[in-house]
Amino acid sequence: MIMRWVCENCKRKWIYPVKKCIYCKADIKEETSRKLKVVGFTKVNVPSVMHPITPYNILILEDDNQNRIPRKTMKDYNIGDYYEEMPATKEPSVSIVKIKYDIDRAVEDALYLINDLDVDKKSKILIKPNMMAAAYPYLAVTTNPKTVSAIIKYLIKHGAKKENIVVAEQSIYAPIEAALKKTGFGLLCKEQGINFVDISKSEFVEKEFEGFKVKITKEIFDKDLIINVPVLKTHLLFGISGAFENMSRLIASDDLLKIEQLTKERKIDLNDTIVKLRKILPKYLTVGDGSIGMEGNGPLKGAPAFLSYILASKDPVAHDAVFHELGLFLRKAKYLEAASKLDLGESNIEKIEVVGNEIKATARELKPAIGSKLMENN
Amino acid sequence: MYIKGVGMTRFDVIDKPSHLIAYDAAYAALENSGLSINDIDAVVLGNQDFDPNGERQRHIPTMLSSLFKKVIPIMRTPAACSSGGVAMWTANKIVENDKNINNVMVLGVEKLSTCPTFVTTDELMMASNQRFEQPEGMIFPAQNALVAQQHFMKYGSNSDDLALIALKNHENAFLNPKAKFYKKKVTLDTIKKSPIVASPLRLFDCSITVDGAASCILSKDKSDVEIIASSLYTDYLSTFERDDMVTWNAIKNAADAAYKQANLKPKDIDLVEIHDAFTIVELVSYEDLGFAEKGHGQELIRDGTVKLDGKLPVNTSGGLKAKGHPISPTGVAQIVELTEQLRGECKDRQVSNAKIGLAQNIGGAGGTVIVNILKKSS
Repeated sequence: MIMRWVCENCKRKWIYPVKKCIYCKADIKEETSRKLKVVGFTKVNVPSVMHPITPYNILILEDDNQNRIPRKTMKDYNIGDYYEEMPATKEPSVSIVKIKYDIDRAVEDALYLINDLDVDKKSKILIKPNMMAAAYPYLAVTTNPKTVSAIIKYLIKHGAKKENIVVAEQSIYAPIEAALKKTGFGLLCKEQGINFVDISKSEFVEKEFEGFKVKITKEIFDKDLIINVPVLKTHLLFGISGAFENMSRLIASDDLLKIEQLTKERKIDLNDTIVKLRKILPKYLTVGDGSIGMEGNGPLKGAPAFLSYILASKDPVAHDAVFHELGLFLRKAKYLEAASKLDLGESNIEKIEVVGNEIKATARELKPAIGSKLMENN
Repeated sequence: MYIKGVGMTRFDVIDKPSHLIAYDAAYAALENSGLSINDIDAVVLGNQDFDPNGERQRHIPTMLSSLFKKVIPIMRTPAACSSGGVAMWTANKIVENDKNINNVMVLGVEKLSTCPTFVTTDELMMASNQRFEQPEGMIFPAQNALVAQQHFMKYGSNSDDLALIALKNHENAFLNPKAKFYKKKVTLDTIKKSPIVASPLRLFDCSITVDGAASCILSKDKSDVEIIASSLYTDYLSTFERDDMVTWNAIKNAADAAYKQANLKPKDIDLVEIHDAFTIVELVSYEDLGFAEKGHGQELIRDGTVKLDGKLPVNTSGGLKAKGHPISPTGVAQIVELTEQLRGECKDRQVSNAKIGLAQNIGGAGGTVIVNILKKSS
């Protein structure tokens, strides 16, 4: 997709989403094109930190208005070929969209590429971000509220009513009021008129699967659509934190503490536990927030990774498997294989249709969470 | 404005920290000028603050204050590969406009050799667009490869033309004791068989990164070399944003302004130092500096015009290609070469009867361009 912001008066064009023309102060209109032609091509053979997999190709794509954009791909093209990104043709699918213009466009594109969401004015929708701690969004400990804002805008544009949308989460490491304030979700809900549900104060229902018994918030069982919005991070226990880990905070906090204790005592494997959780939850869609993302000693003490991409998938296993590949992690997250064995989704990359950007054209090495001596007493 | 003295280190791997490399060049320029450090009223430093070299030395201007034992105005002008050129332009303006300043030392320094190539490649890519180019793998060889491809398609130039440019610059560097490739024979066959970095550019189409420093002392006092024009222009950061990827307007504008200031035409120039970070940049510059019509630049290398014994010798120093490209010192080193040529000090590579020289320094893919015209004083 190529976008330009064009002054309605002087016709100057920007590649950036400016609001007013700096010359004539006139309004700006958007110009979007999806059908593009290859007008330039180079095959690059030298690796760099951001682009470790070689060879790769760069295309110069041009639309009918002679607007151009470079595009990295592992596929070969010829000058004159047409280039169009089409939605997925099968499931499981995962879309990868690099944020070029703003998060709104990237989220919209990511959802378009997995064939959009079926919503209407009656759809009851729950959005589940990561708000595990009271942290500023730029640290990527928690989901970027701009990503959730983009999802809300998308839902309303596609017919949903804001009174039918709720944002639900509980904070484990801070009072909810502090988390709402610092993460920016308090302001987001207020500004957009969206209800926030503190899961810790919600009603719970007990669910059981293969001897695994927990209380789950009732909030998710009467919804037509659940959108899971994890921040894409590294994680000391799971390797990565994505679609699976984020949903664990639908469990009542006393059960969460019990699980934590049993894990410490090595009586259960946390990787199995989050997999089993998936079995007792209704189906959900995942929009992975890589607007910033985290690498290193996540989920709390890593560093912002500046991933600048959004993932979307109806299959949480496929979603996390793709994120795992994008980070070029050496060790495969244990829970992914366990989830695949339980038939909860697809962890085999070869069997997943990846749309938008290609995995190899987006992947770069992220620092894994391996811990450090500094963390022993924290 | 006059050039009182010039000096530079050899461009190579230098086993010294940046500040001591800078000290050597500054010392050489002072010796050459017959001035003492006491005579210097201000210093303008071209430096990119190259972080991955391990020096972690920010706030270099005051570091130079310690080094030179001087408490005078010292400033830094980071502008990617044109940092040295911008330092020259800035120093020129200072001497011209500040009645209290008589002598300004221009200094360019960089240390790159302590990094593996894939890290340096990544670091240099930061001079391209963060959203549209960096995530798409647009390392600088790729950016320039796409320009070469467009020039080939549009104007019928080819890889053989670029190989001849590389060969010419290696032949000149063979004669330059300060060049990385001094006394190192490179054949046309070696150039043509070198591996492809980003098609159609081969390894020998790319300049070589080195350590180094260069210095030049500008003065109100008359000397044997005068700066008769100095101009600086910018263009949009990315080539894909511009109307024509193979016409670099910043070169045209800077050259036109410089010719106007000097009251000269391109045909009046006796020798040129061009910013040949890639051979294609030299070819495009033949055209945009006005030495050839658009689309005819390749004729100058085919007919030998730009060779050392041609009508318009280009890159007698060996250029960035074969003298070496330490990023920030490059723009200053070009002035060193022209000054020595105009003084008749270049021995085996001396251009006979050289009276007027032009230096063109570029930052990014034509994003910043500085053109200086120097004249042998009568």
